[in-house]
Amino acid sequence: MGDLVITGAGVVTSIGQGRVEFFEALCRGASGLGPLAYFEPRLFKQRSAYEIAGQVEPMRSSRLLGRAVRQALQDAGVEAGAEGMVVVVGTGLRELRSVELWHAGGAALRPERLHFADAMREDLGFAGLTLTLSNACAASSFALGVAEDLLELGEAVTESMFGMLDRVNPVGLSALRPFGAAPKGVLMGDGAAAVVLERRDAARARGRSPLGVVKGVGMNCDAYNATAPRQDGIEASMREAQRRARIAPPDVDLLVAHGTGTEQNDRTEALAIREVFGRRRVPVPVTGLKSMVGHTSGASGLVGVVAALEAMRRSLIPATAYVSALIDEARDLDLVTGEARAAEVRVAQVNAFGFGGLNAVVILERPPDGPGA
Amino acid sequence: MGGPSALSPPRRVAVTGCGVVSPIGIGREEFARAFLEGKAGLRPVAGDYSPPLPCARAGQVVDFDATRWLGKKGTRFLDRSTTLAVTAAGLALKDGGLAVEEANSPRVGVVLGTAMGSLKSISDFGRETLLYERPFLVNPMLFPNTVLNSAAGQVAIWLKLRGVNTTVSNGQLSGLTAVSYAGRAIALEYADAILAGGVEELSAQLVWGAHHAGNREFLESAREEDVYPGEGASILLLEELQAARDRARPVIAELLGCESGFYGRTRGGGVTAQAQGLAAWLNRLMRACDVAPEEVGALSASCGPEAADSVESLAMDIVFGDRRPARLDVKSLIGECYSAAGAFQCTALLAYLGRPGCAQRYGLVTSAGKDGAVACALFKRGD
Repeated sequence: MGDLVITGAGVVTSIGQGRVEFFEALCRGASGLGPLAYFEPRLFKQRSAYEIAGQVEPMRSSRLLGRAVRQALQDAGVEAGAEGMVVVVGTGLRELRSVELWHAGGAALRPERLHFADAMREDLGFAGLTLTLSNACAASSFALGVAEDLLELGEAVTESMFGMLDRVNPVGLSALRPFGAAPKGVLMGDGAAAVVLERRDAARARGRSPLGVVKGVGMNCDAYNATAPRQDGIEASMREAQRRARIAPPDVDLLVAHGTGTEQNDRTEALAIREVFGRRRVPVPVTGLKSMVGHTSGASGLVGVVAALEAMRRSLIPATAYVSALIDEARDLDLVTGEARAAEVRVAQVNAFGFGGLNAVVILERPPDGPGA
Repeated sequence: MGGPSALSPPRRVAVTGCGVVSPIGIGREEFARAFLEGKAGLRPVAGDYSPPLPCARAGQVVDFDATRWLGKKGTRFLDRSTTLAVTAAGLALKDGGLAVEEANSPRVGVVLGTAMGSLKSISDFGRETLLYERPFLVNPMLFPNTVLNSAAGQVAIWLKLRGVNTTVSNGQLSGLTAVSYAGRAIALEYADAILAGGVEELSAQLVWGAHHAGNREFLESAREEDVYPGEGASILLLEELQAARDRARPVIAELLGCESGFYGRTRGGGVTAQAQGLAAWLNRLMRACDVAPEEVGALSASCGPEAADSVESLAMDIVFGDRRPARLDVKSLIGECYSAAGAFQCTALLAYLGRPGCAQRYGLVTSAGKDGAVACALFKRGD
């Protein structure tokens, strides 16, 4: 099994698009939170979200996907029509917003467009296989795991994958605060991310230096509760990812947490991190991105992956913005707050946990020959 | 190595045990002996069916008493397909001598092929909602039997397997697809050992359903008298090869690789297209595993050689020409076991390759569904 490397990344979020602009916005502590634009605010208790302005409905998700994939392909120097390419899409709610708009009489709907294969074909000229996975908020990390398997089985040359948005209306909040003390709650965000994954030898043959190495993806299911996370399941997914990556907890230099800002997630995830990384003072720096981009649901895992790739390249960890006082369970974590922190990041872990008890954890490594172009 | 169809070279996959509950015998050795002798498992239909089943004979496991194998405790509400599966799985584990304990339990899994679960349980439960005064007065203890993964779930519970737990529903290909899925899960390190195979129970619902659906695959073949419904469970214990060697277990066979494709109506379709597709996958599989067609000693097919215009016969013509390997036909002995058929074909092939004095080292298993799906697997005899 040769190494699998990421040679291109694309991302579209409420604070910026393209991996460089996005990462700089993260390090500035930018916030994408604004008044609801795509929904009638009067109908919702929660009247703000991390939306991407200026999009056309319907098929907004497909367009965001198209933008992220196009960026990733360009970044990797790969054509959309490249031989042997498979697109694996992870999503929380697919194009269901378009279905709602259709039901409300607002737009025409073609059911076959709900799977993204048509979007890939028509918008990007991609002729190969498109697989759409719907694994709640862990979807895009599952997609990365599936792509990894496909490549290891030799069934495809190149993969790209992505995830995207969902929306809910929770309690009234002024910001989403991962691991922060009250008020707790989640706010949804628009987002799409895509990476091109290929074998290291294939990348070398094309003369591309990788952005990062995918060392392993740990995937499991709590088989416990439809919505609540379960600590031992989350721990098992982190250990499985580290086992597949053949690393130990002290090897991890950065942990991009799922950190949704909810009571349940933050408490459970903090306790699970303490259990896996050591009970006392946890040495691994932890950061949460959702206070800046919101919870991008199915896209959240891959948005974290793109941030981690840049953190490895620049030896810089964005801070968990808008969080000062922490919940008790997170007090022993080395949560990066305030300013972005300069730190060598050789190995990064990205957590993503979804409804249904679906957990997916990605381990990335900085390419050994130093940062890529 | 590392060709497209081959399983990943660092993690090779061995078969170290087989568990069988079949119309011609229970347990690997009894089944192998009966298969090699050509013992007939098709008999006049046993049991009271009113109206009589639309077939004169069937491959029933007539002497199977679940409580004899599993005990009385905890079996009362299990349906037949679940008890067939749990029994076969237990036999496979025992045959392979694998002890499942707290430490290895999360790395041992189960992958079962079943096209429809227990159609009898599903329809009985639905019928009860109409018979009682209120629909919700049904017996809740029977509800778990109505879901497709009932058998896989019970196997895991009875044998304490906490690893990968997957139910594969792929029609005629279910059994072979389950073996292929399990092989990949081991090669890609999602598990270290997996019980993999298929299960089918014979019920009036299934036989009549197939009859009324006009599913010729199930009750009839090219020659109508040849194929009758069957039932049973066939489960292989797959293990990482090195782990099997480390614990000094005899390796029955190595699973070298698997392939599958689809040539249904949406892809042009037709028997010829399906046969050409299967032939292409067979060639690709052998090439990836570095096995020449003339090295293949046997092919265990999903239907008998008398069906000359079947997908598998045509594919064999394309791949092997005049130098055909022995064609194994387990279906003529045990009946059409549908979901379990591919898994029975695997066990039959392993019996053939494992017979005393067998000179052949490689064997293929093929499945072809009426929907256009094809699958194949390549095995190498153990040392």
